[in-house]
Amino acid sequence: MDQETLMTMAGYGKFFILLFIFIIFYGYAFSLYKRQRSGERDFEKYSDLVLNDSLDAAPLEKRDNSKEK
Amino acid sequence: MQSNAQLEYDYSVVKLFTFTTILFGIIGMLVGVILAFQLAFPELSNLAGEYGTFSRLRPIHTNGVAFGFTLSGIFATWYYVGQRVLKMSLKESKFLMTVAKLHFWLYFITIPLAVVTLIMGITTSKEYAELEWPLDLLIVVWWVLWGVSMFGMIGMRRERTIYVSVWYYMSSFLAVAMLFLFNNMEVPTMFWANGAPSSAMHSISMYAGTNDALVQWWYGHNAVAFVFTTPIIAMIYYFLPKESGQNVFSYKLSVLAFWGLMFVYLWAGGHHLIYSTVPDWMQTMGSAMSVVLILPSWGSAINMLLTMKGEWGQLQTSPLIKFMIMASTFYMLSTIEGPIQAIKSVNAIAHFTDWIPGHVHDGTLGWVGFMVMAALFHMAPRIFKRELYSKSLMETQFWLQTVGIVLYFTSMWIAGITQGMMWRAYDEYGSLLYSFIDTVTVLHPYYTLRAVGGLFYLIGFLLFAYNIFKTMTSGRVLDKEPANASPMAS
Ligand code: HEM
Repeated sequence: MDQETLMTMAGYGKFFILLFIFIIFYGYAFSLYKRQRSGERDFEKYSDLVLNDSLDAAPLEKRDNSKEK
Repeated sequence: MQSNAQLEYDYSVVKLFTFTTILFGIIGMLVGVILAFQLAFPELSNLAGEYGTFSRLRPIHTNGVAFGFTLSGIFATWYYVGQRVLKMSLKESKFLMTVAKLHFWLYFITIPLAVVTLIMGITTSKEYAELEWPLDLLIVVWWVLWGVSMFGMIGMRRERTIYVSVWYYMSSFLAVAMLFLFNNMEVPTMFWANGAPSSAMHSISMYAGTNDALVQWWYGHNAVAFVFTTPIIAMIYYFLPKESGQNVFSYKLSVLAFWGLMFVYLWAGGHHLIYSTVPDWMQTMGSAMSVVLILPSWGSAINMLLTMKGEWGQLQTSPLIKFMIMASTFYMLSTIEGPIQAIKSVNAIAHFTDWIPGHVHDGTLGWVGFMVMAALFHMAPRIFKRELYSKSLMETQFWLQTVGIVLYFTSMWIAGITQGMMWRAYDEYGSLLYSFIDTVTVLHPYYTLRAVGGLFYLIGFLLFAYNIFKTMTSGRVLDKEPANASPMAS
């Protein structure tokens, strides 16, 4: 293969790699925002894991399998 | 697990790692400053025979700051943040407590062994993976112990949802384990020497030539990702919201940026091997992925800046917030600079020049160093139950170190680009215009400036160490744990 073809292929390769990642990540972002909006899951409340982190604070969401009283 | 009013978080291991962060920080940075002065004034290389030469000292600097200072900071904050966001205490498990202590002590003996072997010239000669095989085995042991303690703590948690910082720490554990094992595949020559004399400490890599380069930079680049980036992001996602009392601007963005970083970083290592003998498509891929990397990197950084939305006043009142905001600003700087350097035509100028250490130190001094120190400042009043000793000292340190970093990277940018252009310059007949020594002469003032910048940063670090020491020994005793802003005496 000559240099020119190689460079052309590399060029297309670069474009399609970028396009592929673009689609995957925008798709994921869209799904996150959709889940938040539809109320399936509130992601934003998880900041409280930091703000309320003392050992005697009530857990934000208790673990189902924890042997908590 | 019984909820129990007496139960408290256990900070004994946090304190031990805090101590080593400071100790190895001082040693690593001191050696760095010596190296910088040696580059400006080469006579300084001859002061201590073979032991004082640049080549012996450089791996001590890089290993010291990366695996001494930064890793200690990562472990200290892990044992602090981990317990708190998972709402479990190490006191609840004798087993995990023992594992954590063992993790510390094995780590602690590894670092002096590393210094001694490196200064004796025992090295594999692979950058950032210089330690010889017996030490590599020791590292595997404490890395596994860290994993056991991490997943043990996660297993005992009271919170169902694992906070995003813990994801970042987990990624660091898993990725470094994989990278370290593959890059350090080595054969101790002693066992296969067939009677020929061989040092017990000597080994050779299982890879050769181009393969070796590929594995080496897959490792090297991702050491940047999983030692200098993800665990530091873990820190800022905990300490900035906590210290400022603000909600993370967008938790969704933090999750999105996490997966972005995980996916993209692992493909970008090829940018260290542009115009080398590795296949051209790999160089192209490395370069393309590096450009994409701006997105998840800036995603985290902007998320942190926006977390301060409406609360920018805190920047004036709290030097601790200043350190963290400056850290994420430097993170933005190095993650825009990196992708630019990864573009093939730019790399042709930048590679092998001083622009590379310029880029490195925006990241390490500005981002990693500032964030680790800020984390320690935030933890100190909680783990020692005392007020921070001096706010004005923190201010002084902040400005001294910021000026130090600016001197460092501006001098290296100018030096690097000058060097790159001079190497390439040719006349109408195609002959090179400059010989190597011409560039050396031109660069001398910039090397001196860089050394001075580094010295500023080191002095700042000593102020930091003093401030923490005084906090520990003579800060005002606090009767209850501060909720957000860390109390500091003026
Ligand atoms: C988007 C993120 C980044 C990209 C795309 C990137 C890209 C690059 C490139 C192209 C090089 C030069 C390779 C060469 O020609 O020799 C480099 C070197 C380096 N970078 Fe980055 N960088 C990024 C972020 C960072 C950060 C945040 C840090 C540190 C905290 C860092 C630390 C380093 C180090 C230590 C080297 C030197 C490797 C050596 O010894 O040659 N980078 N990076």
